[in-house]
Amino acid sequence: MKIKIKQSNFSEGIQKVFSIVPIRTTLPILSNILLDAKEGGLNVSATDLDVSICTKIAAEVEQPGSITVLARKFAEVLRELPNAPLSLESDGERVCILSERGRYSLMGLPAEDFPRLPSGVEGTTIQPEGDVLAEMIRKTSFTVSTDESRPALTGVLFKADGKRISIVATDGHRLAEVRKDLSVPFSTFEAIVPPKALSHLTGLISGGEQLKKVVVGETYIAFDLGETQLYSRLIEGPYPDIERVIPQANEKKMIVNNEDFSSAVRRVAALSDTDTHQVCFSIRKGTVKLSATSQEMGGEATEEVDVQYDNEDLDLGYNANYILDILKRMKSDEVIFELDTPVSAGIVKPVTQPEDEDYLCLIMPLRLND
Amino acid sequence: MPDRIRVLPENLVNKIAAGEVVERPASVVKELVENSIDAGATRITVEVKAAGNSLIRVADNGTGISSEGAVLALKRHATSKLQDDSNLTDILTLGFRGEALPSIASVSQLALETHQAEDETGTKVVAEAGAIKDVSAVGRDTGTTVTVRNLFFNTPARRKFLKADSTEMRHITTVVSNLALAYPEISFRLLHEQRELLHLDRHDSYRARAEGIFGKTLLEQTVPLLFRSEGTGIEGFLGKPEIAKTSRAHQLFFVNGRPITSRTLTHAVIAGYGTLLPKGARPFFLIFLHLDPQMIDVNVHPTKKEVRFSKERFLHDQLFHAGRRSLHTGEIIPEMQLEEAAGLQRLKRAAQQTSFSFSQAEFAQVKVVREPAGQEIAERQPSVSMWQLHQKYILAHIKNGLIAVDQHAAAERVIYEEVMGNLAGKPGTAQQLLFPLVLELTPPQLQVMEDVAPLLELMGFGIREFGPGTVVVDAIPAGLKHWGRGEALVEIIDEVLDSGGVSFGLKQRLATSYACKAAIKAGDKLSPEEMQVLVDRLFATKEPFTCPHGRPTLIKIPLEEFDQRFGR
Repeated sequence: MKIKIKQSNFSEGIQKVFSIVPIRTTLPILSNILLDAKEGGLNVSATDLDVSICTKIAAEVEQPGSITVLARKFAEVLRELPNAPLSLESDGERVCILSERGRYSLMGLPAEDFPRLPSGVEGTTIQPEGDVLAEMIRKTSFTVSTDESRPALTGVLFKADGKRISIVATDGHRLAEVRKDLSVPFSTFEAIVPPKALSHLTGLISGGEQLKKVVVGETYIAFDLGETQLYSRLIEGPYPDIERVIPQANEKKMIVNNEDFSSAVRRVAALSDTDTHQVCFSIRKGTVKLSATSQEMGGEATEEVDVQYDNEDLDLGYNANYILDILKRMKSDEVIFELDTPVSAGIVKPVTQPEDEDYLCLIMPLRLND
Repeated sequence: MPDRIRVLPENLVNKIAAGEVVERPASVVKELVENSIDAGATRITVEVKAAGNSLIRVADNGTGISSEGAVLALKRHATSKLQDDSNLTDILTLGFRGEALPSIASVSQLALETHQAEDETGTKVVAEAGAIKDVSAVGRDTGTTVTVRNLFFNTPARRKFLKADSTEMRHITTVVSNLALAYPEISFRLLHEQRELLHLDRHDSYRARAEGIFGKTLLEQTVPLLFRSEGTGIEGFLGKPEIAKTSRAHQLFFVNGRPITSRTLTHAVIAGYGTLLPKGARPFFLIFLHLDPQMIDVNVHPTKKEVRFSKERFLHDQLFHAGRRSLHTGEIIPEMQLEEAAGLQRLKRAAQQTSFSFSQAEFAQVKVVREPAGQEIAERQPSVSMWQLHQKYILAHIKNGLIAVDQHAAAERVIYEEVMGNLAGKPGTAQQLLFPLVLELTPPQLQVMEDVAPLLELMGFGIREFGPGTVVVDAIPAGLKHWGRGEALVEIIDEVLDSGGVSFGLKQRLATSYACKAAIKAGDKLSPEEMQVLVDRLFATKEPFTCPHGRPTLIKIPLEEFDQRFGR
C-alpha cells in the first residue's frame, strides 16, 4: 500500500471512526482500525462487533492494499502532525507515515483478521432529515435502561406505521416518546437500536454530516451519511406494548413555567435524599409546594411555585433527577403535567409543540410514606 | 416365695455409682482435683501413667483430713462439705454428694495419704475394690495425696470401653486445664509418664491463666467481657469473629468455678455476636459466671456438667447484652498481614517483571487479623483520593496507612442497616413501576410471600393481588438498581424458605438477603464520587467492620507494614 493524503482529511476521517473503537476488549484486533486503500480513496473502519463504521477519505492511491493498526496511537500521531501532504506506506506488516521531515512507523495486524463489516443491509428505507432525527433521538434516548436483564429496554425503539415514525425509550421508571408525521409514506417496521449507535449518529450529524437514508433490516440498521456508513446490530425484541401503559385519561392538569419550575426543583432537590432524590409535590389550586428532606445531612427544603391548577388537592413524590431530565428536553415555555393518583403514571408534555410532532414523557411516582 | 426386694450391699451400690461418676480416667482426675480445690489447696499436682489406666495421683497442699475422716471418706455419702439438707441449696464447693471417693475406690486400688495441720502425724488408708485393707500413720506435709492404681481392674467391661490412650489423655488434659482456668489462684501441674504437660503458676487474673493455657496470641484476639449486677457477675473473653472455628471445643462456661455446658447460655453469647459471625462459625469464648448459689441447682447430674438456673431467661438476656456491648464497643477492624514467604516470592518475581500488580489469587493469600482501631478511621482525612482495585476493592488513604474496602461487603452493610431501619418503622421509598411484574410462585414460596409481604412493603416493595400462584409487584425500593425481572425477590423468598420459614430473626434474614441482592457486586465500576459516598455511608453504619454475613468489610494496612517491607 502506498498513498498520498492530506493530514487534515486523514485526521478528520480517523476522528469519525475513533469513538467506535472499544476502550477495553478481549479481542485485540478491535483496538485497531482497518485502513483499506482502493481506487479513489482510503476507507477507514472500526467496529466493536455491535456497532461498525466505515468512512472514505480522499487520497491519491499509488498502490492499493490494506492493514490494521492500533487506533489510539495512530490517531495521536496524526493529530499532532502539521497540516501538510503526507504519504502512507505499508508492507503488510508495518504502517509508516511520512511527513516532510518525519517518519512514524507502527506495527500492524493483517487486514484479513479484521471482522467483516455488515455491508449491504437490506430492508425498509426511510429518508428523514438528519437534524430532525437527531433531535428525536435526543428527546428520547435519555430514558433508556441500563439493566441488562431486560435487553429490549436497553435499546431505543424505532417504529413506523406508514404515516408516522415514533421513537421510544423507557427504563420502567420513566418513558419518552416522540412521534413525527412523515411527508413521504413508507411501509411499517419496528427496530430496537442500541443507544451507542445513536449517540454516534447524533455526533456525526451535529458535526456536519448529511444523513442520506436509513435502512432498517432484520438484524442490522444502516445509516448512510454519504462518505460515512454507520451500522448497528439490532436488539432482539419484543419491545413491551407501550401504548397500553400510557394513560389516556389523566384529568388533573397542571401547567408550569418550565424555567421557574425547573430551577425551583433543582434548588429543593439539593437537599433531597442522596439515594432516592425524592421531591414531594403538594399540588393545590394555583400553587405547588415542593419539598425534600435528607436524613443523612439533616437537610430540609420547601418552596412554593405558582402554577395553573384547578383540581382537587394532590400529593405525590418524584425522583427529582427524572423530573429535571424531562423538563430539560421540553422546548416550550410552559409544560403541562397530566396527573391522576399518587401511585399512577404521570404525563409531561410541552404546551406548545410543532404541528407534525407529538412529544410526551411519562414518569412513575415514588410512593409517599405518611 | 422368697423376698425379692433387698437392700443392695454397699460395695454394689458404690459400683453402680461408679458407673455414673467414674466414666473414664478423666472423671477420676476431675473428682480428685475438685476435692483438692475444695480443700483450699494452692498447689495441685496431677500425675498419670498409661493415660490414667495404671496410675492417677493427685497431690495437694490443702487442709488435709483427720485419720477418722480418712477412713470415713471412703464410705458412701461421707462428705465434709454438706452438713444437712439446708446446705444443699447453698453449694459453693465443687463436690458435695460424698460419692466420688467411695465410687473410685470401688473400681480401683486406692491409697489415701493425708495430713491435717493440727494433727501430729498423717494417715494412710489403703483400699482395694472398695474394701479398706490397711490404715496406718505416715509422715507428710499438710495436704492430701490420692493414688489410684489399676482403674477398673474389677470391672473388665468398663475397661474394654476405654478409648485409645491418646484419647483418654486428651480428656484428662481438658479436665485439668478447664479447672485450672476457673482457679487462676491455684498452681497446677500435670505429668504423664514423668513428662510435664501443664505447668501453670499462680496468677491473680483469669486472663493470665487463660494465656498460660491458650497462648498470648489467642487472648490478644479476644475482647474482654465484664458485667456486674446484684447477685450476678459475668467476666470473660469473647474471641473476635475471625478466630471462630467450626467446632465447639473452646466455648467454655464456668458457673462459680464449675465448668458447665448450657445451650441457653451458648445461645445468648452467639446471639450477642449477631451478624458479626459468618454462618456456621462458632466463636471462641471463656465466660465465668459468679452467681448467687440460690440461683443455681447443680444437683442435676452426678458429674455436675449441667446445672439448672432459676432465672434462666434473665441470665440469658444479661449475657446477651453484655456480650453485645463488649463486641460492639471493642471495635474490631481487621488488619492485613501479608504472609511472609508468599510476599517475598511475589516481590522477587515482581522485580523481574516490568509491571507489578496484585492478582486476585495473590490477594487471597492475604491473611486477615483484627485489632481495635476505631481511632484511625475517625481520623480518615477528608477529600482523599480513592482507587478501585480490580473493580472489587476500594483503596483509601488513612492517617497511618491504607484501608482496602470490599465494595460488595460494604454496600451490603449499608443496605442492611437501611433495611433494618425500614423494618423498624421508617418505611423505605418505593418507586412505582411502569411495567408491574407478575411473579409465579410455588405454594411454599407463596406461603412465605404472604408472611413477609408486610415487611417487603416496609422495605419499599409494592406487592398486591395474591392470585392463584402469582403476585404482582408494582413498586420496588427506590435505591434498587438491578431489578431485572424480579429474580432477586424470588431468590430472597427462597432463602427465607431454605432457612426454615418464618421464625426468629426473620427481619435480619430478610435484610441480609436483600442487602446481598441489592448491593453493588464485585466487578461493578465505581466513580470516585460513588466510592466516596459508599465509604462515608459505611462509616455511618453501626457496625462498619463486617458485612451482614460476618465477613470483614475492610482491612487496614499500616504504614509500618509498608516501611518494614521496603526495608526502611
